[in-house]
Amino acid sequence: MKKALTSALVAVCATALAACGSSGSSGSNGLSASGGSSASGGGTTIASKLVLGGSPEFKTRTDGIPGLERVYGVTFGSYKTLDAGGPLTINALKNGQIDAGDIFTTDPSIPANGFVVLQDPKNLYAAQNVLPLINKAKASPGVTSTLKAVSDKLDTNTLAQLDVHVITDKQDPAAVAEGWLAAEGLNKTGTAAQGVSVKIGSANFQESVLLAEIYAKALQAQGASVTTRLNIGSRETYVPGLKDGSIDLIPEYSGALLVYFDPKATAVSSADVYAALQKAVPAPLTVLGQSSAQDKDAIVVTKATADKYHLVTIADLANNG
Amino acid sequence: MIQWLNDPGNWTASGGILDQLWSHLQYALFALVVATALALPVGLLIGHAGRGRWLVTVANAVRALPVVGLLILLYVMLAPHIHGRGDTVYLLPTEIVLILLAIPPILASTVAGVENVDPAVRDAAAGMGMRGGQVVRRVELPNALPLVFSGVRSATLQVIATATVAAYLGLGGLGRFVYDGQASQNFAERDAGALLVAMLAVAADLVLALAQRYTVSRGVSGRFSRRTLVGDPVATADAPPSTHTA
Amino acid sequence: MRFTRPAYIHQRAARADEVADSSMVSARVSGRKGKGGGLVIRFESVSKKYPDGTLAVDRLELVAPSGEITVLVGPSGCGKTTSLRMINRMIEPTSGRIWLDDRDTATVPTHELRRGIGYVIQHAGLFPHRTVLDNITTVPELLGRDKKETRRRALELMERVGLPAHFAKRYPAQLSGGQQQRVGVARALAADPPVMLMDEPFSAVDPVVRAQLQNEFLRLQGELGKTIVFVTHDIDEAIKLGDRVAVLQVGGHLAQLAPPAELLSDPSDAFVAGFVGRDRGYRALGFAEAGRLPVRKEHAVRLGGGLGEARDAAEDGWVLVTDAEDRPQGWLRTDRLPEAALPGPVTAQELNLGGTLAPETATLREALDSALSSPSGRGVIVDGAGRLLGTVTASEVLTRIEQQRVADGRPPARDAGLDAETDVGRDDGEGGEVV
Repeated sequence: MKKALTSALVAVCATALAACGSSGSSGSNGLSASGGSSASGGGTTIASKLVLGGSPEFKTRTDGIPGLERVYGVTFGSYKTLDAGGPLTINALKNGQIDAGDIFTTDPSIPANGFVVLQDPKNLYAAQNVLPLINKAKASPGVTSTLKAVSDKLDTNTLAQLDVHVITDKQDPAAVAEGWLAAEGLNKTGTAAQGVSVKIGSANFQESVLLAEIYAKALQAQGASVTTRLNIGSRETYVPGLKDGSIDLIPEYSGALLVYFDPKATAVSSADVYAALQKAVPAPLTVLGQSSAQDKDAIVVTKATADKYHLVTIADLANNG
Repeated sequence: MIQWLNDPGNWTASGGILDQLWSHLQYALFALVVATALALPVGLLIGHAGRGRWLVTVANAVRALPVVGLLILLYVMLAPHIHGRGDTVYLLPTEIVLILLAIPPILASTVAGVENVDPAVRDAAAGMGMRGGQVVRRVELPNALPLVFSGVRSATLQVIATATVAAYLGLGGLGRFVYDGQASQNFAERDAGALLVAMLAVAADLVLALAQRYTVSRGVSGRFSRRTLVGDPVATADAPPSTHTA
Repeated sequence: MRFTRPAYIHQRAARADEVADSSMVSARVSGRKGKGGGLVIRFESVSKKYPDGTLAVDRLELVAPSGEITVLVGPSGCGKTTSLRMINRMIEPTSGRIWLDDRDTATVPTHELRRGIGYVIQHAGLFPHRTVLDNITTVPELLGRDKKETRRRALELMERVGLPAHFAKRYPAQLSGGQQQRVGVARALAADPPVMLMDEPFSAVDPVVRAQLQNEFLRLQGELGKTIVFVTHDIDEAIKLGDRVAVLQVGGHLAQLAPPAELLSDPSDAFVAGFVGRDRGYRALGFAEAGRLPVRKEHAVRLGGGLGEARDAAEDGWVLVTDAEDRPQGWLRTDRLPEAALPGPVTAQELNLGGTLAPETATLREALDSALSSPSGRGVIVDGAGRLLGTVTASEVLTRIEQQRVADGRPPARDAGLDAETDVGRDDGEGGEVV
């Protein structure tokens, strides 16, 4: 009943809006009009037939539309300004308002909708590997090895799946963390971190909370005495906290952290970023071993689009379709 | 900000000021036309019949809903039903929100306008043999017009200001500059966008004020030339009769 | 020019006129006589009971004869306005019928019925957004009549109700209350309806304007002869305007229906007597023409004439002063003039303006008032042009009153000091006893 009503409303309003329809184009930024297609050389590229959607700043960001063109020679038919990997972009991709979206790699919508993340071999988007940022004083060998074991098991797909439980299914992050550690055999009681007391913080978003819980449960299993301070806020808030000892450990992302400490950093690949980060992190902080899990921008398409145009990497978009 | 506004490229580019101004106007105009088409007849009916005032209360209550929240709720509700290219899925929630926002002031002021018509005037209209519809069209509406206009004008201000949220849903309009400027830390662009919205609202109000001037009867608005005010020497018809006193 | 009336109005039954003629009070005291251009309105056991149980009108039986003014008067809550509004069905009767000639109003669509009935209300209820002219043409417009002809007639009506033509383009807000009411009357007359309903039309204007509007209304009715039902709470207005006055009592009972003179002289019960007021005997004189009064010659002096001459002409210390055309200007007291002033002229500043003037066609009330208000005790009678005819004293008017009482064969006054046996020649000047 409700659904029928909604459908009827949609039908009526859609007709009414036909008159208003022309204004819709104003929302999409006519990239083609600004000479994008000619830049990609002769013929019609796959990208030129597609609509890309993403955040407002993606339009002008160096690793946004200009980056796509510079690094991969990819110019989309048009750009639809939506949100930063939020429900607008995801829904638009799901329902066909856009063909490709700028979405974060661990977004739960990716496994949920079978979206395909186009590979980024040229690292247009700087690596954002998950790693622990820790006060050196607490980075005992036991703690370091315990956290390394966690990082070794974590990858992007795994993290995205765990995000589904936490974000989409609204499960308790602590329980999800515990469940995963158990499944990976990381919850076995040990003594590696015996006698260490660690205060673990997290930024104020769900994935950070989940990662903090994973670190906490893993360290607890190894005998550390752990307290948590979750949802602290942004880097500007918690990095000083790490320095003054109000927290000791927090999950971080390599690329973003590097830029935080060194705004002029240019490293993009995982290894380069990690190497640069180790140098850039000021005392008394340090970063421990990074996991392969990355939460970074990605150009994401639906399975149908990927299959239709045989898309695997972003570069494929520049092929003639 | 002035610099940003002075750059001709920002005006004429695709997605520039002129484009967005036009989109903004279209969003607002569509909402206002639909809202007026709904609220004016309903308001006239409520005022005429003296029944159904609760509708005004309900409409006013809708006004209290947070605009962005409502926008997102509508989008989430509608998104699964609309597929394919095109902006319908964004336009629908935006226009619904704008219409919902525009209805209460128009409805309430129309009802008040009709209710404010002198009961003697309505009595005379019916007593002279006007049918209900004729009373509404020939007497109640023309006399309620100043208030109807004030409702439409207040709705216009609100809708033009709020049409900024169209950009929140990925549409165009002057809100584009506000959101994009904020997102890309281009504060000149953001502030210029806000200023343009305000200027558009003021301009629209001026246009409506002009329309009001030419639509509302002078007999209702009271704009008489000084020469013909009550009490001038020509009003001799009521002069006391020539005295019989000797 | 002829206006088409709603079809039902043409179907005037012969019976309608009979109703008018056989009504119990066809005797008219005043000289007013309409042309009979209206319809007969007949209430047949009409009641109005409101949902809250209030009985506003209780089995009202009433005939408003063709071409006459029937006034409904009574205290507030007596149902007079309800009764009026049931005629054009602004209020629907709970039971009973109202007939316009032989047409049951309940069988006519309301808007059609109302377009055939002039309607004037207390605050005029003019349409603020329309000009005077557009207000007046409302009903002809509703009836789809020729625009040009309608406008022409509207302008003619404006003249008739005493509005200058340049008012046509004005809006109601630019008019005084009295002017608005004139427009209201013109608007009601615009489609030439045979019937007019007037609900306290003159009560919202000041007394001077009211009197003027009343007089012009009577003059207009003398020309048009509509069937008029007029509601007022003011018994003086009822008596002045009504051919017949229906006094209603709270609860919607008709207490008495009679010509004004009869109402004053013979109230049917204590309620009516109380309502018409204590000085009804005096007011009743307003309905009796004085006939030929024994006017005595008055030695008048001209304004600007010598004061000495004036003193010589004076009678009982007062002399009447006229202008060059014999029009009375006031009374001059001569017994206190200083000798030194006598060579001077009579000036307007010295005149006493206290007396009212009575025309030669005056009612007894006017004649008596003239005598009683005059400082000399001599009431001034003037001709149609305002020229002096002579004077009359209060006792002479009283004599006339007694003579008429005898001539009418009416019973002696029950509540006054004078009766038919009183010496008609008595000249004691006790005018105040007439009450």
